[in-house]
Amino acid sequence: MPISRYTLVFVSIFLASTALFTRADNLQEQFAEAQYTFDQTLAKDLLPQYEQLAQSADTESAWLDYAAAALLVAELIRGDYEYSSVAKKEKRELGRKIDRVANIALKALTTLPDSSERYRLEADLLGTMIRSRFKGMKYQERLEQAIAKALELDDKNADAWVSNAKRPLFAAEKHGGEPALALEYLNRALEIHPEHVQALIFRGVAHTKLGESALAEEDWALAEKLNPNIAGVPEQLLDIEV
Amino acid sequence: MFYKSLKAAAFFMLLLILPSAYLVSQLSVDNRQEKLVNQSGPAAQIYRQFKQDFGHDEFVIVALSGRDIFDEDTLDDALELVEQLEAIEWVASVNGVPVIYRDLFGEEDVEALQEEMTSTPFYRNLLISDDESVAGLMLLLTELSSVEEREQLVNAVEQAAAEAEKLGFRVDLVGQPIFSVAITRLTSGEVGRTFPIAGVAALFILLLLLRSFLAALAVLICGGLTLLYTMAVIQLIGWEMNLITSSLPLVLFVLAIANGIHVASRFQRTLHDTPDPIAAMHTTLFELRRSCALSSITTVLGFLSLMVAHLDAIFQMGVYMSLGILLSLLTNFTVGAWLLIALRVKPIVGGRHQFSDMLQHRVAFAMHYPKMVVGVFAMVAVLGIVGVFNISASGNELQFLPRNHELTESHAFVSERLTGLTAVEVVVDTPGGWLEDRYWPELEQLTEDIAKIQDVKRVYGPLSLLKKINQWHNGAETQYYRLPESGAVAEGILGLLDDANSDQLAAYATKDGQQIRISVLANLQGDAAITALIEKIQNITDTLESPLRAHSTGISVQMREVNDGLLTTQLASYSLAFVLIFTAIGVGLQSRHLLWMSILPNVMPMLIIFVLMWLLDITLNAATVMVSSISLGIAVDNTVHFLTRFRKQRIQGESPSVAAVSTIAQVGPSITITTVTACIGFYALVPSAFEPISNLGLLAGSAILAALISNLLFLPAIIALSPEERRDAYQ
Repeated sequence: MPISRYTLVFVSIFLASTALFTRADNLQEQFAEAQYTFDQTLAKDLLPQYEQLAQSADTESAWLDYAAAALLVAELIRGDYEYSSVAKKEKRELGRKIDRVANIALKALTTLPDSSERYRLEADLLGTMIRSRFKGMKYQERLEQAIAKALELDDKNADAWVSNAKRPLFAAEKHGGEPALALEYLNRALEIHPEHVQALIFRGVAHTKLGESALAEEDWALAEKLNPNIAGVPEQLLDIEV
Repeated sequence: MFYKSLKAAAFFMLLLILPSAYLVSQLSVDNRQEKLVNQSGPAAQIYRQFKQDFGHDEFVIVALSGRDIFDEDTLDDALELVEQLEAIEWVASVNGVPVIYRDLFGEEDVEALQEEMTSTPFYRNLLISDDESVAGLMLLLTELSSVEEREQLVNAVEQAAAEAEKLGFRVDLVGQPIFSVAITRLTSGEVGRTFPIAGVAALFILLLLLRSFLAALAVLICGGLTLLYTMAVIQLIGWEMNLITSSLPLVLFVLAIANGIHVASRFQRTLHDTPDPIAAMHTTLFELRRSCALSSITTVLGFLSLMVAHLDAIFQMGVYMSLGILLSLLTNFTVGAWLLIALRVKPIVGGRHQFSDMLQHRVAFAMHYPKMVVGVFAMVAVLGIVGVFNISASGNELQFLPRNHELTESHAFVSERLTGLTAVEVVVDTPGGWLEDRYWPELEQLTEDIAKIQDVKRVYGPLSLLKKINQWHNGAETQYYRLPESGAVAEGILGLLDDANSDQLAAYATKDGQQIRISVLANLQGDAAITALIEKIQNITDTLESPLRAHSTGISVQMREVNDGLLTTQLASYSLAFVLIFTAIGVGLQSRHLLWMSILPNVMPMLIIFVLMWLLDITLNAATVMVSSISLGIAVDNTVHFLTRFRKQRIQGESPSVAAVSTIAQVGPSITITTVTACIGFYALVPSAFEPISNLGLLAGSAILAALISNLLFLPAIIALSPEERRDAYQ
């Protein structure tokens, strides 16, 4: 099966799992489990609980947790969308599910005060919806504005730096592709969070594109050590160009 | 010695059969419309330059209807068709709703797709009909280097279309390759449609006249060989056949038979007095050398006069036929003569007295009532002159197809429902580059004004594409379907284009930006409408302010020039044929007054043609434009045979009336039979699948018949009224 240029959005979520460990409590532990094992059923079961919690608590933090859970669900469905060999109709249905979940979460985020994480989540949620050139035309600008805002509000948000690195890393040169710039962003993310699996994998890709394959192997080995479930993903990322 | 030479010449000709057959097997047919027009004319040169600047412009449109195009299942099925089409070797790219659905929308968001396709005028009347019921797949093609490639391409497209039809689509295919292949297929069936009629009729007439199966066989063999040699020479000089020259085999076959009839008929008669076949053949060839050569030359001159035509296809027809007639003379005087001896053909048993008597009575009648006969012919002449002012010209390519042909119907369907299929390309010079925004208002106005012309379905140029790209660049929001704020912004946006869109733009703007192309797609019926459209476009482009300048080109513009040239071609070729043929007759007959007498009876067939064209509403087109010249060249043969013999009788001291009657007794049966044979040959074209060819057959057959009647009645009447004849000019 050929690799879609939008695969990176899905892959990014597998790798983003570590960033969510910060959310505590019981629900958070189950959430972390779903992330680490890519358990879509568990993630879907958790989503209504997060929604209920957010509605009852009605705090910024609860709504951000809800959005993060929605992002996880959307990205896990995106995984099926990208890699499972389902019929076109089913694939379209998966796409609709992604959009549904992402849109509900995006709507929830609009009610929240400005924060770096709010905009980072918004960017990644929009990323799950960009599965075609048309959606790219529609959402790319908003996505980039959200990332810029996330970094403006908190330049220590490692996830935001990773999101910021995607375009220079995967885009064609005339569309803003610049691996050296991506490397710079990813270094920033890893300075903040040295065990950020997604950042490690992306940096490996950046190193490869810049002709430093030994450094790339180092990053990928560390990433796989942190989460063995990501085996094989880095090689697939090399073929992506948006 | 004579027989040895004859046998050697015949064997030499027979030896050419195998290499000729090989060459003929390699002969190809190229029915592209552009092959019809003059490739060296100024319009053709402009069009070539256009193709050089904006790329190859051959395309096929696959129009899909019968299902809701904005339904997911429909789009899935349409995409299967697209994938089949994209896999075809000569398809450079496919554009259309399903392709946009796949490439832009990732096969999702049907509602957004529908919005994209219908919310702006960009795709309307191009890839989607106004009522959204017809979607077009535009197949851009790579350069097709051979007829076989074109055939394979169309076969593959049709195969894919057939699969789509099984899924409930109505599929209409249009485009130049589809048209060319349709014509080629009809051409290949053409021989089967027309040859049996001509063959059976010719055999019947030959048996009736020659009363010998072997003699008829010899004549038919010569007809076949002439055809073979002619086609071989065409291949040898590297030319191809086309939709006009596809009628050549039949016409040439019957004309070649005419020469054979004269040789066989005279040989059989000579055998009565000279039983030795070699001596009889020697006498036959000696006696016929002048009349056969002269009549062949006049026929050749008739065809050669077509070389003044603006259409390459007509020019080639003239060359092919001239060559064929000369080869026919050679074949009949060598192979034919030898076969008649070798097959031991017997003299005709019994006479043709009754037939001959009937002809003699007609001539005697005309000589007895010459003023009445001339009066009748004068009335026909008046009708002919009226007719000539009521004939219209047409170069419409679809005229070549039967009215109920699938492609004719598809053409009408796509034209009415999806987009205009008559394309006029307006090339605008934009010094400094079309991205200079100071040009945009004027170019927009130009587009708008052209779009307002009646029946123009779509005007498409680089500014349309730029608007769409601007919209995409601004979040695909409909309100951004407009030109960017400035040329600099436009340059920035265009710099981000992917390869597919860059290619699309390259087809509408030259690399240096100094010229752009605006395609005008119109749904037009008839050539007058095309001419009017081109003139209206010209009027609009004339208003462009300096430094902007524009000119129109395209195959429609070329065909318009062809149309304009049809009447000129008709007059020029006929005049040339007239001068050449009658000069040849004058030289051949060595008599000025016989020359004058031969003219009027041979003008009559042309006037009859005009009467028929007027009454039957037959247009002057690429095929019928040839009729007058061809008919003159063929019909004049009768006059040559008549007057050659008449002169001989007169020199022997016979009075004009006696000489005319005895002349007709001698040559009447054979000129009647050769005329009837030629008529049958042309009438056999009437069932042709190509309407212009069918009309050519009807008109030429009728003209030749009219020429016979004219020679049997009008010529004797003129002789009777001639002061020179009364003065006894031969003493």
